Amino acid sequence: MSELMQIHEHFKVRWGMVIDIDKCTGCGACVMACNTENNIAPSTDRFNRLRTVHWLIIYKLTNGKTGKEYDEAYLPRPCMQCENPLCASVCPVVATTKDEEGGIVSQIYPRCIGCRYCMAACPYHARVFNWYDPVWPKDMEKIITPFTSVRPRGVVEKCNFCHHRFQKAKEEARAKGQNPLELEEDAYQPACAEACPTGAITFGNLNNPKHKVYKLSRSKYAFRLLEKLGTNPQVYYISKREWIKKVADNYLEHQNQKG
Amino acid sequence: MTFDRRDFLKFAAGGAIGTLFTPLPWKLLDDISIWSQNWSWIPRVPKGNFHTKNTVIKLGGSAYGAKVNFVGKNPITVAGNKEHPLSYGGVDPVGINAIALMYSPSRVTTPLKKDTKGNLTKISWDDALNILIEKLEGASKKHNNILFVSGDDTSSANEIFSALLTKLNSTLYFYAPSDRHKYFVAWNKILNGWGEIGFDIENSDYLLVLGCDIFDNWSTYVRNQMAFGNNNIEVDYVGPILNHTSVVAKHALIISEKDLYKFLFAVVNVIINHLDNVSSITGIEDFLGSVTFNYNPQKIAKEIGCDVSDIKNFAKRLLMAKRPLIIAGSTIDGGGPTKNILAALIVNTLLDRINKKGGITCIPNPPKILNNALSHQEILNNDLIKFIMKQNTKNIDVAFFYETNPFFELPIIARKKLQEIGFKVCISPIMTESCYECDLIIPSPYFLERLDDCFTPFGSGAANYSVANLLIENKNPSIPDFFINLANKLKIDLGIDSFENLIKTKSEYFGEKYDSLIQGKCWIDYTFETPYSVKIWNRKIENIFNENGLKLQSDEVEVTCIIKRKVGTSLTGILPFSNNVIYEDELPDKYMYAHIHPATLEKFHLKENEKILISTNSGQIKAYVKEDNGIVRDSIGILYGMGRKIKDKFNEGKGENVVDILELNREDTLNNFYWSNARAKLQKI
Repeated sequence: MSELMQIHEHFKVRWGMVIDIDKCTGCGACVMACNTENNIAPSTDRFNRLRTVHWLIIYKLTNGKTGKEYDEAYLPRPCMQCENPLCASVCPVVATTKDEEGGIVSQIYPRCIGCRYCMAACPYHARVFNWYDPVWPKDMEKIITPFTSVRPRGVVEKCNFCHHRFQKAKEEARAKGQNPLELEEDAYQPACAEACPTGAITFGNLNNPKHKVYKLSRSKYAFRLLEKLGTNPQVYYISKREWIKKVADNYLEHQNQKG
Repeated sequence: MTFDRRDFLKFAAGGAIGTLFTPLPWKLLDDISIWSQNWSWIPRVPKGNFHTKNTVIKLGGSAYGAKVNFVGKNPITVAGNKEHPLSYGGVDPVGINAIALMYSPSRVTTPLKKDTKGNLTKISWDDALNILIEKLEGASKKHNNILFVSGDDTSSANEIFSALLTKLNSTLYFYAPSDRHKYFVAWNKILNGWGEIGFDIENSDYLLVLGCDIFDNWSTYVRNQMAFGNNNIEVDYVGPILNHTSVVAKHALIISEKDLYKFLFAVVNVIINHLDNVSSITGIEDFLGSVTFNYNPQKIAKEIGCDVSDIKNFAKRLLMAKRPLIIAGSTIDGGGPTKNILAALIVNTLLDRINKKGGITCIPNPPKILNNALSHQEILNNDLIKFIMKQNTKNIDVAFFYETNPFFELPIIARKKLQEIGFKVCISPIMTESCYECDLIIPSPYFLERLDDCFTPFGSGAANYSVANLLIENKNPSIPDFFINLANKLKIDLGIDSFENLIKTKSEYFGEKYDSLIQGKCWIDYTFETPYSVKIWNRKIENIFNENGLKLQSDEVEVTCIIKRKVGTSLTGILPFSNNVIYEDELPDKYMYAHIHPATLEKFHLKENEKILISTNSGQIKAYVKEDNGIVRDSIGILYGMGRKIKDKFNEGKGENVVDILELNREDTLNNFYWSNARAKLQKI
C-alpha cells in the first residue's frame, strides 16, 4: 500500500476540497448547481440511489443518541478524487485515469463501455451508471450548458470538480501571460463551491500555501472519509464534533476512533 | 498439406499474440464505444457566446441579486452575485432552478378563461382585458367590492395595483400572509415601534433563533446563510423540530412552538439581575414583575418539557454575547402565533439591541410615488385572514391573486372563504392550485422576461433597492403595464404611463441612476428610524401572553410542518431539479413520512414504517411513520410543499399537502389567526 500511496505525489497541483460540516445547512444548493452545470437531466421521480444520476449527494448523519444528546449533520459527498483511485486501476478501457496535473480523476465518457467495474471498486459510491437516456422536458433542453457533453444510456459518470472550469481558468491564465499551474484561489471554483450559501465548501490547490484549503486540510479538525482504506481522497471534511469523524471512517461502535 | 492438432494450437496461439499487438481490436472497441453513444436523440450541447447578466430573483422565496449565464440568447445557469447585499455570492435552490422553471410544462403562456363547465380555454390578451373591464366597472359601483392579494411585497407593482383598486372604490389590498405582517403587528401596533423590523445579522456575534428556519426558508435566508458563513457568528436554536438552522447551531433545544415565548421569558428571569440601563424603558417595571412572578425557570421548565439547566445555559450564552440578536418566527412563514415574535422584540428592546450594531434595525418605510396608491404600511395594516374570516366573502365581486397561491398555502377554511368570491383572477407564471380555482388566469412574465424592482425584502438589515431588467424577449405584456392599460380603458388616470417610468422615478428618489440599477447595482441605506415611544409591557400585552395556546388531549398530537426550500415554493411547485434531491428518507413513495419522537411512538403503540391516517378537524392525510429524535414529543412533523395539483410529472403523485390538515387558531386578545399547527389524531391503517 505504501508504494501505491506514493504514486501520485509527483503532482505539483492537487485540487482539493474542504467541506466544513459544521457550516453545512444541507440546503441542497450545491447538488442542484452541480446538476444544472453538468447537464444532469431533471428527474421526475424522487431520488433513487441506484437509478438517479448524481455526482454529488448529501447524506444526513445522526449520532444515534436520544434526548438532549441527539445530534444531526449533513455531509455532501462529491467524488473524492483519490490520490490512489481504485476505480482507475480496474477500468479495462482506460476511460478513467488520474494522469493530469491537478490530480482530478478523469472520466472519458466516449471510452466507457459501461462495465461498471469502477462502480464496484469505488468505496465512496461516487460513480453512477446511466440506466436510461437522459430526458429534458420539451424546451427545457435549452438549459443544457456547453460545458459538459450529455451522457447517454450505458455510460458511467462522476464528479470531475467541474473540469471545464479548470480548463477555462488555465486558458485565461495563459491569455494573461500567467502560469496555468499557479492559479489564484478564486480563478477555479467548481459549481458546488461557488453556489454554497454558507461557504461550507472551500476549494483550491492543496499544495499551495496561499490557498485556504492548504491550511484547512491540515487543521486538527480535518479528516477524510474511510481514511483507513488508504485511498487518500483529495476531499477533506472539517468538524469539531467527534461523532462525525467516527461516522466518517465507518468505525464500529466498539472501536476506538483513530488518532 | 495437413492441418493437425499442433498446427491448430500454433495458429490459435499466434492469432492470440497477434491480436495483442495489432491495434485493430482496441480501435474497434473504442469506435464501437464512441459510436454506440452517438445517437440523434441524445441532446447536443449548445454553441454560442457565453456571457453573464445581473438580475434579481424572487419566485416566492428569498429575493436576492444573482447573475444569469447565457449562451447566445439562451439563459443556462444562475450564480450568486457577490456585489449584492442579499446574495454575497450565494444562491438558493429556487434560484438555481429558475432557468429550468422558465421552461416548465406548467408555465402559463396565454390568458385562460374558465367556461361554465369548468374547462379552461385560451383567450387573447384583449379578451382578458375586456372581461376585466366589464367585471370591474360593475364591481366598482359598491364600496370595497374588489379584493387584491399580492404575493410580492417588495415590488413597486403594488403601487400600480393598489392605486387602481383605490380608484375602483376599494381599499381591500393585502399582502399574502407572512411573518412580515406579524412583525408589523407586534412592533408597530402593539409595541408602538417605528419603521419596519430588520436584522443586522452580519454584525451580530450571537443569534438566538426561535422557531423559524433562518438558513433555509425564512426572511432573507440566502443572505442569512452567507452572513453566517462569512462572519464568526454563534447560533443557538430553539424550536419544535430540528431544521437547517439547528444543524449548524452550537446548541439546539427542542420545545413546542406554542411555548417559545415562555422559554424566552424564563431566560429573562435568569438574567434579570444583570440587565443594565433598563429603567428608561416604558413598562419595564411591570414587565420585570410579570417575568419574576409568572416565568420562574423551574416552573416553566416543567411546563415546556426541558431542564432548568437548559434555560440557565441559554441565559448564560445570551449574557456573554457582545452583540446578541434574538430572532423569532413561524415554522411556516406567516402561519405562527404572533406572541413569540412579540416576546423576541420585547427582549431585544430589553437588551438594548434596537438600532445597535448586530441587533434589530428599524428600517424606514419605502417611498410612495403614486398619490392614490396605498403605502407599504397601509397594506401591512390589512390582515387578509382576519378580513376573510370576519366578512362575508360572497359580497365581494372580484378578487385578484397576484403571484400568490392561497389555495395551496392557506388552511382549508380560509380557502373556502376565498372560493365564495364571485369572480377570481389569478396572475401567475405557473399553473398552480389557485389558477385552477380561478375564473380568469393571466400569465405573469417570468423574472427574466420582465422589468421589476425589489425594495427591502423582509429581514434585510438595512433599506435596499434593486432592479431586475428584462433580459430575454417576451411577447406578453408586463403585468403592471397591463394594469396601467386596464386603468386607461376604465378612464382612470393612475398618474404614471408605464411601469418603467415608475421605477425610474423611484430610482431618482433614491438618488441612484436607473441605468446603474438595471446593470445590477443595489442601493443601500443605513439610516434608521428612532423608535422613541416603544412600550414593552401593559395590560393588553400581558393578556396576550396569558392566553393559552393549543391544548392537546391525551389521544392527540400537534402537527408541525417541515419546510425545505429545495422542494420549491408555493408559487413554483416542486422544482424541476427538486426530485434529484428529495431522498428516500424524505419521500418513501407517494406517501410521505410523519416524523414522530420515539416516546410518542411508544405512547401511540406505533412502529417505524407503519402507515397511519392523520386526522384533524380540517382533513386527513396518510403517511408512513418515521422515528425522529429531532422533534418535540407529542407531535408529528410532515414535509411541506408536497401534494401539489400542478399537472406535470415533477409534481404529480408526490405526497399530500400538510396544510390540508392545519387548522385556523385565534389569538383572542390580538384578534389574530395562526395555523402553523393543529391537533391531530393518529390511526394505524
